[in-house]
Amino acid sequence: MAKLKWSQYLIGCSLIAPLGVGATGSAVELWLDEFQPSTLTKQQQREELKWFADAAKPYRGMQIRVISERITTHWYESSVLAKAFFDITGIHVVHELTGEDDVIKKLSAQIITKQNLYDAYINDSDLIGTHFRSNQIVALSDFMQNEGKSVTLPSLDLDDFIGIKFTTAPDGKLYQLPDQQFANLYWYRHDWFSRPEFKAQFKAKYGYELGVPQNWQAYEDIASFFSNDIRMIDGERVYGHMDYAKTDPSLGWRMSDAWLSMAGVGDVGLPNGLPVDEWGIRVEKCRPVGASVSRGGALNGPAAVYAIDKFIDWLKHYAPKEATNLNFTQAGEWPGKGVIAQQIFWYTAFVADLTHPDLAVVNSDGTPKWRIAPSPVGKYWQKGMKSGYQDAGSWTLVNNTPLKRKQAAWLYAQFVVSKTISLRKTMVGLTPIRRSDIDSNAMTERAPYLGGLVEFYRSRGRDVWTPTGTNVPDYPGLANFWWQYISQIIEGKVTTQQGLDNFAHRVDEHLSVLSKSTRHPCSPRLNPAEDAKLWLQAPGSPKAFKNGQVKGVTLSYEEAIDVWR
Amino acid sequence: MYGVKHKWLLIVLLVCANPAHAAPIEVLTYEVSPFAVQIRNQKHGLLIELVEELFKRAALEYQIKFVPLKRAMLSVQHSKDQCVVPVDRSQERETSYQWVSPVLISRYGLFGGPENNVDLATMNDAKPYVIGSFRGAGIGEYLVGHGFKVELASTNEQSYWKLQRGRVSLWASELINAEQIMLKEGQSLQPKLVFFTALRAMACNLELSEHKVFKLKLALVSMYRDGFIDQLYRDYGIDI
Repeated sequence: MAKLKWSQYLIGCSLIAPLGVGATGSAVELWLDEFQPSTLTKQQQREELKWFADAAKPYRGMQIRVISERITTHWYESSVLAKAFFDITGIHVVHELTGEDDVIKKLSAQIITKQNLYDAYINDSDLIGTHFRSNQIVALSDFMQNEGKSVTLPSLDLDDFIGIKFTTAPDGKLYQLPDQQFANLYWYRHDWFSRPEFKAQFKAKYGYELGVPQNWQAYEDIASFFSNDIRMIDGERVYGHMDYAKTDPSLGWRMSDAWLSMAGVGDVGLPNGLPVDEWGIRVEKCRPVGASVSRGGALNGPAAVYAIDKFIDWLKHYAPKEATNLNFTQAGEWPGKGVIAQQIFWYTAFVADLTHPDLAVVNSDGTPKWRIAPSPVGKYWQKGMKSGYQDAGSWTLVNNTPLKRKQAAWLYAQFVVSKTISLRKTMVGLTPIRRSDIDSNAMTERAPYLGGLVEFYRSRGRDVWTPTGTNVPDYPGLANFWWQYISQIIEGKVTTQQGLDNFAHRVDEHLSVLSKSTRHPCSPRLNPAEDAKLWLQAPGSPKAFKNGQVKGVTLSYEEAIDVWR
Repeated sequence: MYGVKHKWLLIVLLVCANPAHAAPIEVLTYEVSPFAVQIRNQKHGLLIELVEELFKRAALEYQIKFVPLKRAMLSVQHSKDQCVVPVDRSQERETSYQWVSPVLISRYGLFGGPENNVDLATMNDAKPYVIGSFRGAGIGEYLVGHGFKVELASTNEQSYWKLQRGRVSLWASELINAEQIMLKEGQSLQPKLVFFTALRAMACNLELSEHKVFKLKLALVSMYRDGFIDQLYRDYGIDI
């Protein structure tokens, strides 16, 4: 049989000529208009792009493969920026788009099989706890000083990245470089909330103003108000809440993307609670010691039960009946239909999708009828805790990628986050990563059309809505448990307490396996199981059952934003 | 902290190995040269050998049967002791099966006919064209999901013939299988763009014993760790 090699195909594929071959200057000029606006002057952009062209000379003619999840920002990279990079540097990038779940599986597969499937990954920083313990991921801070020095952009300016603390491990090393960030915030119909007749009706019933809810009780009151009292607006059935609960990996992220932190499950601490984080995993020093209450964790504690019960209760009572059978993607279309009054769990990666002029939720002048605001928190939440989730999709290099391919991929990674490009990319995908972009005049001009996104990213909120942290030692291994165990509760096969007990026990088992199979100063080491009461009586998380209802609290939109200024 | 250490794996495998009283698992596959080929009831190919070693290491009995992919995937959803291989593992399919993965790692390319002069630097360049794939292929679903115009045939060979007859402008195929199909016709087209890497898995019924699936997973990891799979690929002249 003839020798069949992928590399032969890759050579065959690289016959397309980039504009940059022998004409780097003209390629730069051709692309410069695309890269507007920028916080750099055009001359500074030219110089930065010339640096890329020069640094890429040893790699010209190579084809590299990178992978990321499928959101607007990465679509722009894969279809526009990869082409620009090819023209300017002569390096052909195949930037594959797929589900984040698939990205994680492929990254794991590259490590398990030792095959170089991709030269770089844009992987959520939620895996930082996995990466620094694995010895399989390149510590970028070391790489930039050593074998990556000649291909590290002098004007990269790491201090300008708002998410750099999310991608730095307890060992002080940087393992990932943020490429895009989006938060999970509260979304609501500002136009409906501003109607005088609704405001009066709400105040008469609940005794406080209809506004941006600051706690879950207010969210619940507003959900009931629109679903049960208002019911119809302009002839259409409306709902006070939207969510999704289909048995699907996205149900797992609905929970693992910090839902429990919003309820107040973990401890005080940023970017994640210490010693107990929002997955309910306790660490001692940096070692995970358990997720179940009996080992000092909080995954099956009263606050976690409260979080899941509220999720189910609101889904059943206030969301459209279809919501139970929708996944994340299907549910994402609902706010744009103009029948949802508020949604407590909404990713800002979809701001761009909700600004199309033909949508029912956009005014004729292009400004949105909706706003996003900091999310309300549950009754176990305390000041100093994280308040929700932020995704930081970040460039990640694997140790087993050949050095030359790693270097070429690192050039592309820096290209798409460079100051030359990042503001333009932010304008397209609305997933900001650089402080300089957020503070730019271009963002100020765009702000009225983005429903509060710019205001959020200019506030302290950007540090309080955070990704999964370093307590989670094996994100790929543990993440699947979320949808598997939570779906059993939603389907009514077990009670919430039973389901979370099973889940916490399973996580403990996994930590136990890791403690035996891995050697790292921060490897798990399970605490002995003790009487859960001892842990619940101790200060901090896991927290004892909190009886009684709290009163709903709302603020005006302006006041709600000011809280985090 | 991916996977577990080698020595520990072997211990777990030995402890778990208990072939007695085990009902054989029916492994469904389909004709996809050079991975799985059936000639006069003789089954051979890289995948056939891989499955044999996998079940041997897991100490489980199995029977292999050739069934078209789409039918096989439906069948496995309803039959307790069945698995299907190779299947592209995707987020959409994740909850419908238990997975033993990755059994194969495949690269997919877009091929144009001999007269086709289209240059593809990125996948976006393929947006105006009709792309051929086949029913049940994850890559077809991937392309549809990303907004491409896709025409599905019953088999990959038929999709190739559609390209030859100009009924589609581009043909999306797994590279090694495409090479085999083209060899039969004495043709050797280069892909215009290698655009996707798939982890191809063995997908098993949700009610198949968790213990058996666990043993298969451990066996697969051990086959990567000790170089068995690398050697198998080399034996078939394939360089990952």
